[in-house]
Amino acid sequence: MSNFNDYYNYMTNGYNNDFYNNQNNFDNNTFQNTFLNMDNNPKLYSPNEGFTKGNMYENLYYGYKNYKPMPIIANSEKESLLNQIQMYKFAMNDLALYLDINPKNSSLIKLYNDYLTKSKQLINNYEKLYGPLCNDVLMNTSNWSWNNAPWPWESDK
Amino acid sequence: MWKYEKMTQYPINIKKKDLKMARYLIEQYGGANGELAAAWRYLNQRYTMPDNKGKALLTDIGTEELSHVEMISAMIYQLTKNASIEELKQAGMDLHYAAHGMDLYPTDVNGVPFTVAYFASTGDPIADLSEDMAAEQKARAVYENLIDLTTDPDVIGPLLYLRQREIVHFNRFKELYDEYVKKYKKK
Repeated sequence: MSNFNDYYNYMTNGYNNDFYNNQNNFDNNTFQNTFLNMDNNPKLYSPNEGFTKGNMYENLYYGYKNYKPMPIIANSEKESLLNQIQMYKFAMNDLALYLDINPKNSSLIKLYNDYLTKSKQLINNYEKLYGPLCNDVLMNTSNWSWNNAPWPWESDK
Repeated sequence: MWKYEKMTQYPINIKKKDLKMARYLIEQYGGANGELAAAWRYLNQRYTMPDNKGKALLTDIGTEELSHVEMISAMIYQLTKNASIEELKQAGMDLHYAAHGMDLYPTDVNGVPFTVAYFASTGDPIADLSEDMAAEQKARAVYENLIDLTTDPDVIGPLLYLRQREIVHFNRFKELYDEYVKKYKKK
């Protein structure tokens, strides 16, 4: 199993159909939950649902009163791309906290690598279109684009 | 060493000015259970954790708390942007303005400046981790109080998110705490 897709195909051959049928709201959810459950792993939300909730772990989530997590709405293509980057970075961060104290969990490390690969592609796209998100990339030599607005705390993104 | 990334951990897009809410939120910037205290509590305690799990967890949660300092700061900034002197007076933010203008300044909700007396370090990882667990629960409770004080969905969204983060952090600290109790206290 040299790549992630092989791993995916291998691991999903034996999944539980009932479980699969109950999980059709989020594209990535099924596969993650399925193969993670086989290892007695924590049940994970998809990056999208986890990011919206602020929590990747189903067993740890509990809401406050009747409040529902607020949908994340982008007002532009740029914001939408940034939100996807934030989403994968969030998922990676939450996996990392678990892996810090469960460092031998291969399936979770593979998932971490998968999210990292996806986030890198998105960051690359974003930076080509809108300038650097971090000053560890090659800079345009005619203009120091790092200090281009907006800054993260400015609402007029 | 830290890298700065030009994004908040979760989007902050507040469209409505609300100086009173900004005043309340300052508690989670420079208050006893606020994000600044959390970041420094964990980043300060990490050096003497007994194994790599503890060093990694305190480094990573401490780093995440820095991004929460930024989220709370962004919320305060956006809630107070373009406020008039009259509006500042009405919301009781004229006192803050007298000392700091429209700058942010880490205080608690009563204007008491941030102090490292808000956190401890004992040289005992089990004592330190129980403090960390309590800190996360107290921050969760304060976020719930803050959610009660607003009806603006642009403010509630990030507060619900930050509240969940306290819950996740509490559980990770607790897992490490349980492991350390077994490992170091039951011999």
